[in-house]
Amino acid sequence: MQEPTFLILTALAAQPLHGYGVIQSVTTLSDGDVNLRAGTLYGALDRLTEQGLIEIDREEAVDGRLRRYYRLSDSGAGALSAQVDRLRRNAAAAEAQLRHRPTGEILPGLTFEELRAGLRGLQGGPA
Amino acid sequence: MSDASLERHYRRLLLAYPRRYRRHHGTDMVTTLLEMAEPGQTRPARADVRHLFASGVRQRFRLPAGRPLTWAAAVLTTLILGAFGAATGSWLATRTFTTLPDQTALLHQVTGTDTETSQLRDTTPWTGEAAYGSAQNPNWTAEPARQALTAAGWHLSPVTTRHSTTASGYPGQPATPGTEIRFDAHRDGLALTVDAHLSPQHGTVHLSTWAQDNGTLLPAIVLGTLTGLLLGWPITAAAAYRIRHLPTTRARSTAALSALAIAALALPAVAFAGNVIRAFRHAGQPWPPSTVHSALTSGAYYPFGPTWLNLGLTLLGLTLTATTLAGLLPRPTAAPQPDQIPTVG
Repeated sequence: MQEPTFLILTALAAQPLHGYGVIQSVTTLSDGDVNLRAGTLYGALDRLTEQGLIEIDREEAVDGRLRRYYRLSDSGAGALSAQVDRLRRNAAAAEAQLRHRPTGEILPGLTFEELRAGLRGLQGGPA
Repeated sequence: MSDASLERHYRRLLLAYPRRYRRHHGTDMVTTLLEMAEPGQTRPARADVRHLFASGVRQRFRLPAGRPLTWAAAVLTTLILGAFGAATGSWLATRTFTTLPDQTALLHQVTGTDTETSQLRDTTPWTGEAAYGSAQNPNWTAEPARQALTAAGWHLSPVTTRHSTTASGYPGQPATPGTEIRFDAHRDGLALTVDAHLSPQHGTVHLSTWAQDNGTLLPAIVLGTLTGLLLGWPITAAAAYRIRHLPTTRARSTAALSALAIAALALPAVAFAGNVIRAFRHAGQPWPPSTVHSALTSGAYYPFGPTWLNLGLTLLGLTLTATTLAGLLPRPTAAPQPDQIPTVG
């Protein structure tokens, strides 16, 4: 699942939104990182509707114009939480791997090399 | 209100999208685009124009999800349309070639007398039209023929003469000496070859004439191929989306018809592709130009089947295509669909 798709499903998870509402919500959710354009948005909405992950909630006339609201379907909510689980798992794995990385400092003021030298000194000291 | 001008721009941009998509999403998209716009904005930003246009074109290439057969149909349709595009380009190019002159008059110019002539117009499944004629004249010499042709505006090559002896086939009888005289000529897009076989008793003069490529053949083939390739995928996508909205039995029969049309047109398309390769390989050679659409003329293109195989399959395939397209058109008595709200497009 790509990031824009994930964010669109996330935006619709709490409540039905119309096109512009989704764009605003995605910008907020991604802290300004992802700014959807109309073409991308509707391409994704079309595809997600085809896949049954979202559906049309209602249509309103605003200022004489049609505004269509979309909502997350049940299978969409399932797909979104499955993706959340996967991302959380991957994030935790990455975090664990990073902890194993030999860094410059084990503790503030003590480098890995100093620690090793100290331990060696302890081993080689008088019995 | 400046909004109206901006709205007009957006509606025009949305024409890049397929009609079905416009009908379904168009109005909502315009609403969203106007909400995204700055107050007082009268024209869309150039980057937005590019992006919207590109999204629309991309949408035309998108196939309905989850159907591998549709993908196969799109690939085949694209290739077939490319091949037929090449044939169309080839045909259009040959329309611009010089027409062949009156062969009887030409023969008399070359052979010099009111001799008995025989002629034939030959077409092969690989080359354009060529005219062949011959005449019997034991006293033929090259010089009067060359003068007559020069007077008629032809540019002549030097004469090549070759002496040979032909065995008589009877033991004890001497072999007959013979002479072969050849030269070529060309004139404003026409090519001509004179090939005379002379012996003490007999003389046969062969004449070949054909229209030369005036430089438009290969570009027209390339242009036709590209056009066909470009149209193949969006056409399949549009048809696939239409089929999805048909009732099940009609959808299945329409899909089956389209599969048959593709099957019928596949072999002629392969023939066209082979001729495209020949057209490029034989470009500039002193023979009747290799064309693509000549594959439709009667002849032994394949080592199997009747001589009219390519033409027959093409006609069958085109009929099946027309029937498929007719099946995709909406029936006039159908009730309006719920998504057919009056919208953009």
